[in-house]
Amino acid sequence: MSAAAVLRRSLPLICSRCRRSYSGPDGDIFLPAALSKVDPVQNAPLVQAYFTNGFMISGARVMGSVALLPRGMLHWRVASKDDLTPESFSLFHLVEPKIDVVVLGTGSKVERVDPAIRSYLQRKGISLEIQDTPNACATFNFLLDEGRLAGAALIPPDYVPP
Amino acid sequence: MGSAMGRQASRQGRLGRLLSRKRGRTPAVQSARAPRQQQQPLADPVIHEADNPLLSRLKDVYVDSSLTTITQDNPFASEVTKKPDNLPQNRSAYYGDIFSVESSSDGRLTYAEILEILNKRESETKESWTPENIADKYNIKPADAEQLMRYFSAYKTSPPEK
Repeated sequence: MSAAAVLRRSLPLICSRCRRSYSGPDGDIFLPAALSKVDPVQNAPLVQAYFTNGFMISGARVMGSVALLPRGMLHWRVASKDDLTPESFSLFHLVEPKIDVVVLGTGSKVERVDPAIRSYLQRKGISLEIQDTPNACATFNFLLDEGRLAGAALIPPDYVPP
Repeated sequence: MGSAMGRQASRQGRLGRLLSRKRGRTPAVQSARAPRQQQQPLADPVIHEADNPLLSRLKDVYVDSSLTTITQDNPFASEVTKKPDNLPQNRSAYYGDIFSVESSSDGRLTYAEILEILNKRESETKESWTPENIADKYNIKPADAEQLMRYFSAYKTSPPEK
């Protein structure tokens, strides 16, 4: 059974407290992110799972860090939290419609980031929410499900519990 | 034990009240209060006199409690007549479909325009597609265009191997 099929079958049962990891076809372990609905919002890039090397977003597996918009996604050239700069968030204030909140997933655990990043986004009228990547995925999904203009900047976690 | 103490306390309280009633007020308090009460004159004797002619005329007065017209002399007239603004209760009903934006304002880009910029950057027109050219064409700052191309890229689709 393919990873997508396993994921599709398991999604209705997923909650944030009882996550269970699955082995993908390549042998790597992935964890499904929390979803509030089985039927996602049309064209919304909901995060379905996260891996140590990427994410599964709306059925497509993407590698590396990802920048998510309310109706789209881009590859984010940031490998770790050390690469984070205010300029690396430039997409979120350029995009139309204006993003209200950006959820930053810093990897396996919550990391301190440069305060200049927060002040840069605040000057542009954007709130920044810093979380570990598993929770950032779930937060972004919930915000999109509510119809909020949210963005996410997600760094894959170093470790996914088996 | 507790009830005995309670009875004792109530007995003492009753005795104290009885003694204080018999004793009356202390002379010092009486002398201090009496002259003040005697000396205080009536504020206006006219107020305390019944004006019978006026009362008989007031019997014929009919007061209507319906809404009166507000004249321009009233400084609060505009505030009273102004209807409260209803706050938006539904984002899509208030703003329309905010997610399907086709045209962007100055200094902003739609997701389709961002994809176009990044794809052209990756294509063979890389040399002619400089940040300055992009800034001119899309009405954004050259620095924003440079940061966009530096930190973000569009995903390349690779179909799964059978």
